[in-house]
Amino acid sequence: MSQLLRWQYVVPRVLAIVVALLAVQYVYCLRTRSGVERAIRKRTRVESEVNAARASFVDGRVILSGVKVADPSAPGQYLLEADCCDLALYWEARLAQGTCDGRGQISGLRLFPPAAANSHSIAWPAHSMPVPNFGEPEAQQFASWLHELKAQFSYDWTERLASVQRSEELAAAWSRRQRELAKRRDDLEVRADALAKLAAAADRNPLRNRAFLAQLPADIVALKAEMKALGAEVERLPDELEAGRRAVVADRAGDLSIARDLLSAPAANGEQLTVYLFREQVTDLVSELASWLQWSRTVMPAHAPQTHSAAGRGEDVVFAGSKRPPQVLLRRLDLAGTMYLAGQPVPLEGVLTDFTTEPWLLDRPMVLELKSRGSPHVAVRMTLDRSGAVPRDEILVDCREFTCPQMALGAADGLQLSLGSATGALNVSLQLEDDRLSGDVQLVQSGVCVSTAVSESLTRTLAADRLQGTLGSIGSAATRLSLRGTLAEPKCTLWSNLGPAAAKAVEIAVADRTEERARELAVRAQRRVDEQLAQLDRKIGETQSSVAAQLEASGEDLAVMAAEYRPQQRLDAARLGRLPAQSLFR
Amino acid sequence: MRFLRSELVALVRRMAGFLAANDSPRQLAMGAALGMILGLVPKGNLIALTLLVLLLLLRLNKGLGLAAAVAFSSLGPWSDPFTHKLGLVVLGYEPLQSTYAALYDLPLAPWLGFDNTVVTGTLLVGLYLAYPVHHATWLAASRWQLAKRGTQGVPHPPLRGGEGTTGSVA
Repeated sequence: MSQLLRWQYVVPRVLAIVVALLAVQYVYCLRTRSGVERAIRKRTRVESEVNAARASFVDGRVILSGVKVADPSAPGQYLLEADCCDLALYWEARLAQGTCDGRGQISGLRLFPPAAANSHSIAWPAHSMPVPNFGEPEAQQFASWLHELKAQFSYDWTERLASVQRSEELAAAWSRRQRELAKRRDDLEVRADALAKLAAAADRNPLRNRAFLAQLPADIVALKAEMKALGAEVERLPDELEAGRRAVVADRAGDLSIARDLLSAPAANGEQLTVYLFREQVTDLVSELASWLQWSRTVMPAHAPQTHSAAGRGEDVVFAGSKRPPQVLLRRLDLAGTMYLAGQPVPLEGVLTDFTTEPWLLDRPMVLELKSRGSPHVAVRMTLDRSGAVPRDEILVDCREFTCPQMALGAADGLQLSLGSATGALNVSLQLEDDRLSGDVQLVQSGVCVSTAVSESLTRTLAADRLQGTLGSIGSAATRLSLRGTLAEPKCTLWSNLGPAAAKAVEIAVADRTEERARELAVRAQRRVDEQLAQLDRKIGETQSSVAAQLEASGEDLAVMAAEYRPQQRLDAARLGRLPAQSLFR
Repeated sequence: MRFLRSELVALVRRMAGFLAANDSPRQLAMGAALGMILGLVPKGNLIALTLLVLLLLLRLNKGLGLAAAVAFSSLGPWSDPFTHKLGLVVLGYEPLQSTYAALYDLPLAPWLGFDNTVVTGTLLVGLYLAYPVHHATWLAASRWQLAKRGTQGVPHPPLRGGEGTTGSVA
C-alpha cells in the first residue's frame, strides 16, 4: 500500500489544496461582506456595516452577523440592526444566471432602535428631504386673531362707556354754565358799580339830574331783582347737578353691556386652531412620510437605471424581451425581532417576499408584512409594485393599544396644549401611484390628559384655568390627516376634534375674561364718574358761596345807595297848606 | 551612456529571445493576436476567461501572448469611449434584440458579459485587429528569425508557406 501511495508526494499536495481552499473560503467571506456593504450603499445610498460574514460553497449559505443600516432621515441613528441574517442561495441560479436567488431569515432584528443603543461608527450621508409648508396661512390667521384679542383687552375702553361720556358732557356743560354765571355776576357787579358812580355824580347836582335820580330807585330795584334771580339760579345749581347725576346713574346701568360689546371678538375658528395646534407635527410627519416614500423610490426604482458595470467600464444593456432574472432575488425572508415604537420595544415577526434589487425585472410586487407578538397590536403591510408601467407603493399600518408619548401642540409664545401619554390607535393608509399621493393618517388617543399653557402676554385675554377646566375633560383626541397631491408637493387636509374643542374652550375662557374685564371697566368708569361728580359738587359749592358773597356785597351797596338817594319831592298845595301864611315858600 | 545603451539593447534582445523562444512565427503571431484581444477585453467575465484559457491551452507562444495582453490592457481605458459607442450600436441594433435576449437567457450566458457595451466593443475591435496584428507579428518574427539564423549560419527558410519555419536543421 505504502508503495502505491507515496505519502511524501500526496500529503504536501493535499495540504496545499486544503490551504488554498481555506484561503479561497476566507477571501470569499471577505468579498461577501464588502459586497453586501457595497450593494446596500449603492442601492439605498446609506451606509451599512456588517460585522462578520460566513459563506459556504458547499450548501450556498451566507450568514451575515451584526448587520447595521443607517437611517437616511435621522443622522446618527440606525434604521435597522440585525444580529443574524441567514440566507440560503440557489447555486444553480448563481451558476446559470449569475444571480443571487434564494430565501432566508433574519433574527434579532431591531427596527428603528433608540439612538442610545447605537455605536456611532458609521459616517452618515447628508440627505435633502422636502419640507412642505403646511397650514401657514391658517396658523397665521389664528395668531393674528390672538394678537387682536390681546390688543382689544389691553385697550382702556372707559372713555367709550355711557356714564363716563355723560359725566364728561356734564362737566363740560357745567364748565360752560360756570363761565356764564361768572360773566353774569361780573356784569351785575359792573352795573352796580356804574350805577353807584352815576348816583354819586348826580347827587352833586340833583336838579340837573333830577330825572336820573328819579329813575335811580327803579334801577336799583331792577338790579336787585336781577341779583336775586342770579342768586336763585345759583341756589338751584345742586338740583341741576342732581338731575345730571341721575342721568349718569341711569347710564351706568348700561355700562356693563357696552363694555361687553366693546370687548366682544369673533369666535375662534376651530379649523384654524386645529392647524395652529398641529402645524409643526403635521409638517414633520408629512416631511418624513414624503422622505421615506422618496427613499423607497430610490431604493426600489421604477425603471432600470443606466447601469454601469461593476468595473465601471461601459453600460450593461437590457435586451428587449429578455427574461433575465434580477441580480438579487430573495423570494422569502422571515423576520423576527423587535420594533421600537415611540421608543418602546415591540416584539414582532414578519415576512419579506420577493425582495429584489431590480424590481422592474420581476412580475410581482415586493411585500413586507410585519406583525407584533402580543400587545400592542401592530400590523404593517408595505407593497412596492414595480411590475407595471406605473410604479405603485402602498403602506398600511394598523397600530392599536400602544402608549402614545407626550405631545406639545401649538406655540409656546401663544396657546399651547400638552397631551399626556395615552393609549393610542394609529391607522395609516397611503398609496403612491406614480407620483400621485393619496391616503389618510389617523391617530386616536384615548384617556388623554390635556393641559393648557398660555403665554404671559395672553393671561389677560385667556383664563388659563377655565381653558384647562374645559379641555381637561375632553377624554380622547382624534386626528385625521388626509394626503393628496404629489410627492414633491404634498397637500394635506387636517381634521381633529381637539381644534373645535379648543376653540370652544377658548371661547369660554375669553368670555370669562370679557366679563372680568367688562366689570373692571365698569368699576373704573364708576370711580371716574364719581370723582368727576364730586369735583362738580365741590365746584358748585365754591361757585355758590362766591356768587352769594358777591351778590350780598353788591346788594348791600345797592341798599345803601337806595337809602342815600331818595327822590326829592316837589312842593305842592297840600304841603304848602301846612306852611305858615307868611312863609317865603308860599 | 554607451554602456547603458548596449545593456538595454542586450536586455531587449534577451527578452525577445525569451518571448520568441523556439516557436515558429505563426505561433508567435497567434499568441500576439490572442493576447491583444485578451488585453483589450475587460476582465471579470467568461469571454476574458475563455480567451485566457485558449491562450494557455493552444499551441502558441504564451509569453508573447501574455505580454501582449498586459500591453493592451493598459490601452483599454483609452479606447473605452470608442468601444462603448461601438458596443452600444451593435447591442442596440433593433433586429437582433430577440437574438441577444435568447442568447442572454441561455445558461451561463450572463457570465459572458456580452451585454456590456465595452466588452462587446473591445471584442469586436480585437477581432477586427486580430489579422493585422497576426500578420505584422508573423512578418516581424520571420524576419527576426531569418536574421538570427543568418548570424548563426543556418540556411534561410522560405518567408511564405511558413509551415516549415521552425528553424529546424534536420
